[in-house]
Amino acid sequence: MAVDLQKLKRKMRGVSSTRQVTRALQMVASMRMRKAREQSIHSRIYREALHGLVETFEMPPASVVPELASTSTANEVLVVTFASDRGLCGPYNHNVLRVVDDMAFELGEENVRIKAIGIKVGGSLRRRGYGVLSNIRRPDAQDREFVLKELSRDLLEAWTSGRYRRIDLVYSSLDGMTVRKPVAVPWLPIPGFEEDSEEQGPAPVGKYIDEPVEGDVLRAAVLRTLENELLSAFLQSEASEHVARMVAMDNATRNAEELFTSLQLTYNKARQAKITQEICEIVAGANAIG
Amino acid sequence: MPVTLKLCTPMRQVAKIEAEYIQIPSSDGMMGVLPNHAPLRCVLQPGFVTCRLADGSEELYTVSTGLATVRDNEVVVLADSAEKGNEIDLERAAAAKERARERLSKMDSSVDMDRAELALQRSLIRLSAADKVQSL
Repeated sequence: MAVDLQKLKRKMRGVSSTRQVTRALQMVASMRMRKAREQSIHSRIYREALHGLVETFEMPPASVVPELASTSTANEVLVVTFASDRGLCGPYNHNVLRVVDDMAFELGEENVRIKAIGIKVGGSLRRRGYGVLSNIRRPDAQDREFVLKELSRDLLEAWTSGRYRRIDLVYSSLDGMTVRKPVAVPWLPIPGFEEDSEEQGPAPVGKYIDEPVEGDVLRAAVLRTLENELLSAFLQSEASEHVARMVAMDNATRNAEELFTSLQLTYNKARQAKITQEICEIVAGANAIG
Repeated sequence: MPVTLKLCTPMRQVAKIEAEYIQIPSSDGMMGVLPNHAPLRCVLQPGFVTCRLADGSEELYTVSTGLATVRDNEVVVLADSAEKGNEIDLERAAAAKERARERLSKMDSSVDMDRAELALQRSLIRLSAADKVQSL
């Protein structure tokens, strides 16, 4: 067995440096994940309080946001995908693609339009010939508020154009430390749009003072709820992206370590075999002479 | 019997304070809340939220638009944005908005990152291929 020791050594060096990189990426992802989870938790306080407020109203949303009524002739579905800009996160983006594919299978590809946040998925969908209306990078913390406001405005405009019968958000949420597979979460139409909701809050409905008037407060609350759902999708997809990357990089690091160990074993065996052979040659030579 | 102020924005809880008297900028005008106030829901206009504490001191927050509820001696302010103190730095906010617009319209320069990522992806594929060959 003539094994090139140089080549092995080179390979080992390559594997070792790859391992260093994957390990670093894993640690960075871990830090980012922690921060993203914190943000997700903090934003939940607002979200729950807003939800509690909406529950205190009996009047149906239809009465305060009539412009958000569904259009009966609409055929298409608008999907907002939340994914990553960078790879190395395992099946994270692929799972989002699958959800879109499933929708296209069910509804017909020509009836699905996409607004992509996170270019990995946006790019893939475009390459596959989907109708991608926009494909943007994930905004960083500074730009996030502005970008999500614009997104909300664009989506509401799209809805009132009457072209879509549904607007869904597709993103991966986080359950503790487990990444949940992405699902299509309905954004519009608002559930129970036309219905009176039953009294749910602990305080009797109708006994509130409202300023300026009950309808204005509910309208403000409903619109904010819609915006907040976009924020929630964004934050959750962020946290789950980092967890996915942590896991992928952790696996890659472990693979690299295993391969390095096995290469090292091979190298040592080969080195020993070479030394043994040299000794044999020397001894044989010595015997031949003497 | 104190009134509790919970001031939240979509991204964080800005304050949770027990006070004797809270004032919020309702759309119908500044509204004062003492203990046992009637239940109330209101739309907010930009302005100040102030709390007078038991020791006589005052806490002040600047809020933009939003909503507020008063119930059971709790004032929950859901502000679109809020800051402690009374500094409304409009200039800074406008500058930040401009920067955001600029950044979004510019071509992004993350080519290096993409190249590095591709290189790493390739070596990971090689790794796993090598791994499979080893185990044959």
